[in-house]
Parts: sequence; C-alpha cells; structure tokens
Amino acid sequence: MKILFLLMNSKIKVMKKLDVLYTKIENFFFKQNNQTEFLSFFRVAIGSVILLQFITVIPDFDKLFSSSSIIPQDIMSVFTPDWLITFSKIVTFLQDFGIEESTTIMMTKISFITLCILIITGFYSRVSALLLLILQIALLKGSSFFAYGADFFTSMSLFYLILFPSDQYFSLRNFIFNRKPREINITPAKRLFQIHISIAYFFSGLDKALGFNWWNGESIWKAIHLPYSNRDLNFDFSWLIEHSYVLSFIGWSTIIIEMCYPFFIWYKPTQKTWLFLTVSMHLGIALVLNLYYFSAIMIVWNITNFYFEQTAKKAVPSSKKKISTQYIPKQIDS
Amino acid sequence: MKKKLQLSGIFIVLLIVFTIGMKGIFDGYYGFYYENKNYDKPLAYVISENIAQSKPVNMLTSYTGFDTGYGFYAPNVASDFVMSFELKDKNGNILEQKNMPYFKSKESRVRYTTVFNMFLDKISNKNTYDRKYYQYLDIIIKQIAAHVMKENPKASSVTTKLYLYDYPTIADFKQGRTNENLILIDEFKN
Repeated sequence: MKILFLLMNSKIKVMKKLDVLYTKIENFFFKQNNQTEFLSFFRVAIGSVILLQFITVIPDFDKLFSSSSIIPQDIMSVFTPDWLITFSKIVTFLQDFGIEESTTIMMTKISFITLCILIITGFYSRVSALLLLILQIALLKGSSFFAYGADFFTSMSLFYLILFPSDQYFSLRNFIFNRKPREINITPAKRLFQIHISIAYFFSGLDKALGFNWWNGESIWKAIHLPYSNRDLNFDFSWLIEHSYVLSFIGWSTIIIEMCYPFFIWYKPTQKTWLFLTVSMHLGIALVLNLYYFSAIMIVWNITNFYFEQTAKKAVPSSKKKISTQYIPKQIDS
Repeated sequence: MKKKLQLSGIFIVLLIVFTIGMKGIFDGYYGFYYENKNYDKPLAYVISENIAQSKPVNMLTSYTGFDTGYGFYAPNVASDFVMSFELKDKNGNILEQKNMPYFKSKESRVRYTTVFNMFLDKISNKNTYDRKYYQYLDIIIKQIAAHVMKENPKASSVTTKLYLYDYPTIADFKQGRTNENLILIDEFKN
C-alpha cells in the first residue's frame, strides 16, 4: 500500500513538472506582445529584395528560364520529380491552349512584379505570397542549375509571408477598405521563424567548424580569391599574407558568430551585439563575395527576428516604467 | 486544442528544419573526409536521409525552400572552375575568346556560375557515379558551348576548355607562388 502511494505520489510530481513545462512552452510560443513593426518591415523589405532581384535578371530571363535557355530545360529537369510544377511544364501546358511561350513569359514577368508590389504595399499579402511562391518555385526548380542559396531563402521568406498576417498593419489593404487591424496572435509564427534562423546559423557554423581550413584561415583566403568573388570592388588582399592571423581570426569569428547564434541572440544582454556581428558578417559577404541578394535576405531575416525584440523591450507602457526617486513628487503634507 | 494543433505544426516544421540541417552536416562531412573511402553511415545520417527523401517531406520542403542545407562554403570552400570558349570562323580563324555567355546583369552571371558546382563531380573518384552521369555533365558543357556559338553568327566552331581554378594557399603564397593556376580538366570541340 505504501509503495503504491509512493508511486502515485511520484507520478503526480512528474505530471506536475510536465504541466509546468508545457505551460512554459505554451507561454513561449503563444504569449502575445503588441510588437507588430517587424511584420511591416519584413513584408516591405523582403518584397523589395525579391522584386529587385527579379528585375535584375529580366534582361537575361530567356537565357536562364525559357526553352531557349543556355542549358535546355529537358536536360535540367532530369532530376526534377514529376510532381513539381516547373516553368517549362506551365509553358507546355499553356501551349496546348494555343498560348505562345513568349506570351507566357510576358505574363510571368508581369505577374511576378505585380505580386511583389502587392506584397510590398500590403494588399492581400498572404495570397500574393502564396501565388508568388508557386511561381518562384516553378522558375527555381525548372532551372535548378541556376539556383543558389538566395533562391531557397526567398522561398522560405515567402512561406513566412504566408504564415504572417503582414497586411494587417501599415498596408494598402487597410487604407483602401478603411479596416482596422484584427487581433491575431502572431507569436507562434514569429517563434517558428526565430528558431528556424537559429537552427540555420548553428548548422552553418557547425559545418564550418568541421572543416580544418576554417580554423587556419585557408578557407577565408580561398573564398576571397575565388574566380567570381571580389569582382566589383576588387579589394587587394595580398597584404593579408603578412598578417595571416587576420584570416584565422575571421575564420574563427565566422564559426563563433554562427555556431553561438542560438545562444547569444536569445540572451538579452548580448542580443544587440550578436545582431550587429551577424549583420556585419553579411555585409562583408556582400562586399567581398558579391552575393548581394543573399546577404540582403539574411540581413532582413536578422532584423525581422531580433532587432524589434530590442525595441519591444524598450517600449514598456509608461505606467510600468521605473522612474528615478528624484522624480517622485514629495507629498504635500510632508 | 487549437493551441496544441498549432504547436504540433510548429514542432513538425522545426523537426524538418533540424533534420535537413543535420543531413547537410553529414553530407558535407562525409563528402569531404570520406570522399574516396568506404564507410558505414551513422544511424542519425540514415534516418535524416530517409526523412528528407520521403515523399511528403520532400514535397513540403520543395515548395517552401526548406530543402536546402545550411553549410555554405563548408566544411571546405569548394574549388571553382573557369570555362573558356574559343570561337572560330569557317576558315579556322579565331573570332573571339570568352569565359562565359553574354549576360546583361551581374545577378545572371552569379546564377550562371552556380552550374560549375556540378563539375566538382568530374574531379571526384570516377567510381562515385554512374558513367552516364559523367556523360550528362559533358552534355551540359556542350550545350553551354552551343549557346555561346549561337551568340556569334560568324562562328562555325567552338573549342571549350574546362579548368579547375587553383589559387595558391597561404603557405604557397608565402613561398613566392603568387599566380593562380588553371588545371585543364576537359576539352570539347563543337
């Protein structure tokens, strides 16, 4: 009987602990804060980056995405699963209805730009993001040989724009229909986004840590001297040979910034510093490796997820602000 | 109930992100250190591969962009390639020499050069892939060459050379070897 009682007691304790844990998890994922600026920022910034990136490739659109591309679509689609809707499939499908490829290309360009503008202005941004994601995936997977990191992060950004009700605030939709923002809890999607970026950086850093050349500076040296890097500003890095410890330092720093991101970006006292270091790293990547759009997307992701945490902390309602004792008015009676 | 459903969805997405990140780590590590060696894949690697390649997960990740690993330039910065095209007229006179097709924007050039990642397989152990795959890589190069030739109406032939770009290491540089080396990997005549 006593054993049974002990067992029951320990079971209750475990249940209580689990309950406390679940409450903590629920609070973490669902506790509402009224911070919504990050939504408007993310929508406008990512929409602009996607639009700019698309506009820059428009002059070469045919060479990359059409049936007259540098590498024929049927060669690129060898490893593409049948269920994926690629741009070449859309072209073929519409050709059955008598729509020429040139018309489809024109419509695609117009649709892409229009959807970007709808996202930026906040006019049914979720639906626009969904349609743009389908279109972007069709282009990306159809010409997968010409896709790189920025494209994947573009897709992921559009996925988050579908999750977030980002046209609830500072949007054309509200302006036209004279709507007021509805009360929607955006914390779950925000937490998902924040944990996602933390996992991404952790694995990025871990992968680098596994390569011995990242520790001795050789990887940095190699990266900055790749044949298609550093072509815009043409920095002369030969002086680094005399100071190769700088290369090692940059290598170590990259690993530490990325691997420790999940820890220091969540820890309030170091959040701002880590955000600054990460954004600086991406600025370096943009300037030296010339991966402008990739860097821009990553900077937007960082600012969206963690910059506004800072401002949210600062924006404590005035009634709850601690004020110095010298500002407390003395009682009239005293 | 709604919260529990939402939480389940969040954890499923995070699990997928984590699994694909882990698969990326294994791919990078074993691809780099065990390239020409036989090895048994650790259980975590096999599981992450199976999850990432299962059809529902594959569909979800393909349509959300989650199908990418996060090991950029890791564990080692991969070598890059340089392609050269020599265009000749019908009399065999050299018309022009160029390194890539004509593009109007830098961003298009960045996209074009990502194709070169595939050519790393050309310098890997020849037993790694099926013979047909190497032929497939050759077809890609020939198609690029054909496109470059189309850009010049006077051209009647093109010689394409694929070079591995070898930049001196820090140690080499300190010893006075300061020039990059282009190692010929393949040559094609169209």
